[in-house]
Amino acid sequence: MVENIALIQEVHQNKSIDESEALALEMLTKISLETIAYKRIPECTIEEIFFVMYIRALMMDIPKIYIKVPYAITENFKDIQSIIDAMELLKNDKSVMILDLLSNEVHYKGCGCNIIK
Amino acid sequence: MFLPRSYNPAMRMVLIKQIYFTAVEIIPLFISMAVLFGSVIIGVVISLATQYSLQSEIGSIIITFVVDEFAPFFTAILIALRSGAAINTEIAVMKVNNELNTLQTYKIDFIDYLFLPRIISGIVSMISLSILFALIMLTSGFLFTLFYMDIDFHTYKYLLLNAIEVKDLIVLLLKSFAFGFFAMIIPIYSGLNTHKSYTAIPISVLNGMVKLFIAIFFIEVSSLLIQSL
Repeated sequence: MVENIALIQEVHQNKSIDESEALALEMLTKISLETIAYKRIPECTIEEIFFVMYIRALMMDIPKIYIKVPYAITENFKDIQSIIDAMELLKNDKSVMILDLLSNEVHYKGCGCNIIK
Repeated sequence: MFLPRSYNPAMRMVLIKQIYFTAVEIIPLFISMAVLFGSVIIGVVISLATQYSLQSEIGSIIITFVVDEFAPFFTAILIALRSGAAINTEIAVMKVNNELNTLQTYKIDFIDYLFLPRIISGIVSMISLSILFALIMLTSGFLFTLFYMDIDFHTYKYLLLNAIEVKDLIVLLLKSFAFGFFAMIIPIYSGLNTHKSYTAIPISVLNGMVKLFIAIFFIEVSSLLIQSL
């Protein structure tokens, strides 16, 4: 997973492999996912893969990150607040928008984010 | 290929790994094959030349046979079988798993990241392994000339140096370049054209390998035709 995340910095920022992998490991450690650093996709849970994708998006030179229907990935996703808490730990200057269906509204009850209908 | 931005650290790492898989990992097998088959074939060529009283032409026969024809052709077959099939499968699996789309989503040019290192490694590996194969065959040739024709090393060296021309080296380099390029580009193209199902992967590899072998024979025959003009 570290290689997977580091690739973005290597390609877009021309950073060395060591430097990019150290940064990727640092990001995973922030959300206590350092145990998956050297695992392959089939060895990871859906939630872990989601965070790897999220960290990769954070590495991109883009102002906004859109997460489209996260509950379409799996119904076994933890409650949205724990996901948002993890995102807070990784926070940087990018704004994050979650686009979801009204039918999934129940998952967002009590969450600290702004809900726009 | 000629843009410096294509050579980022990720691409350079893929290139190093590809050269390792294509040219370095294969060396023990390659040397064994070169010694085994190369020696037998060069032995047959030398014994036939002796049989037909072509001893005076033995230098140019060895050089033409080994440097111009057999070394690049045999190397191409071996790399096509080993790396060509592997690359075709790898790209087909990536296509089926949507990994190429993921790379695009993250604005990673997969031509730079996936294809360019494989093509460069194919060309570099093919040229270097062809030269290695030719050297092994020429060494075997010495052993056979020593036994069949009682030629010592200095005479053998003199025979080869007299027979070799710049044209032979150009033919070796150009053919190896063409073989290396097509041994990578055809499997890549075939992998990219895989339909999105796992059952399509063996069909893609099968089609890719057939096209690759046709291309190898086409290059070989074209080179023979061009040289005979």
